[in-house]
Amino acid sequence: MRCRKARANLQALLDGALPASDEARLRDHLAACEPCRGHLNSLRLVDEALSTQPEAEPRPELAPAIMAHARAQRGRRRPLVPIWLEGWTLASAALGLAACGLAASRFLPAAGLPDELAVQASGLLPVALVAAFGLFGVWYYRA
Amino acid sequence: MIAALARSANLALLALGGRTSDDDTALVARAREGDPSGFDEIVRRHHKRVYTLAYRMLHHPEEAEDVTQEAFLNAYQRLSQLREAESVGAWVCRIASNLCLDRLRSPRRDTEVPMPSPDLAPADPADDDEGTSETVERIRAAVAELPPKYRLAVVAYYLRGHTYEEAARLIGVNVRTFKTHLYRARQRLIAMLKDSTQARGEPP
Ligand SMILES: [Zn+2]
Repeated sequence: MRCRKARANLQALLDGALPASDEARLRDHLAACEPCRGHLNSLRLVDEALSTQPEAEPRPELAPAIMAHARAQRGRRRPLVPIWLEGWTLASAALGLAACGLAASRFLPAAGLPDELAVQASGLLPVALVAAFGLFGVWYYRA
Repeated sequence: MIAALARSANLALLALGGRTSDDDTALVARAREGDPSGFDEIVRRHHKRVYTLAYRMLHHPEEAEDVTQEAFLNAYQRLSQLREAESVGAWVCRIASNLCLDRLRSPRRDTEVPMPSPDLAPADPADDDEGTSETVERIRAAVAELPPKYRLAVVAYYLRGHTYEEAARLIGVNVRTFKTHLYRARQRLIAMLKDSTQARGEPP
């Protein structure tokens, strides 16, 4: 094993993530290579210094401030319909139904059009409207 | 429709029940149903970890508080997009990580917030009791000198006894990238340690 490869494996050894077969070969290298042993010691120093670092303490006001902001945010965005049916779902369904009715009353009796075309047109318009409105709803709620 | 599907998927997950953190899952469900106390508890439970991450990235208490708050509010707004409700804490950490990187990469930052030099960095008051050695202090302070993405890898890994996989998920990179960043960060820390030791004329 060369030093380059050994150094790459030292990190895994330190983190307990080195397979046993690699570990045996690394130990052989370490026994024979002083610079790599020194490197492992430095890594251990770094690891110890960072893993014993205590958590930082925020001011006690931080958590209540976040909660208050979240409540204020919620007040601004409160949905008008029950939570299981978000505003845009309901609105797009209603708009779709209205568009269906409108399209049917307009296109179906049109004398100049073949029946199949009229049916197609009456189907496509509401679909397009619902899709557009639905996309707008998704955008609004994600923004 | 998408949100409704996501919600039923989460209800299904809820029914299956996570072992370690189904409390978090329940809290997320409550918050989604409009119960603000659910989100309060999420904040109470996870804000110290998010703050610690931000503080170790930015080395500035007020900025760390700003990032912590922004991350939670961001998460609150997008709660319906969270797929794994049991890892809401990690999710907020990931949002905070990105906010920290944005701040560190902002061109205005260099002039506004000078990074503390390792020698001037104040010691953590909690350390005094434990009689922390000078070397330990120097190593901890040197983290502030690392390039942001390497710093983030180190901070995430040592945040709370993590595995590579958990730490990588915490900051939103793949495991391979994470290992490379952690490796380079440690190499640099060792090099900095050697430099400062030599500069003081101490034996290595
Ligand atoms: Zn070697």
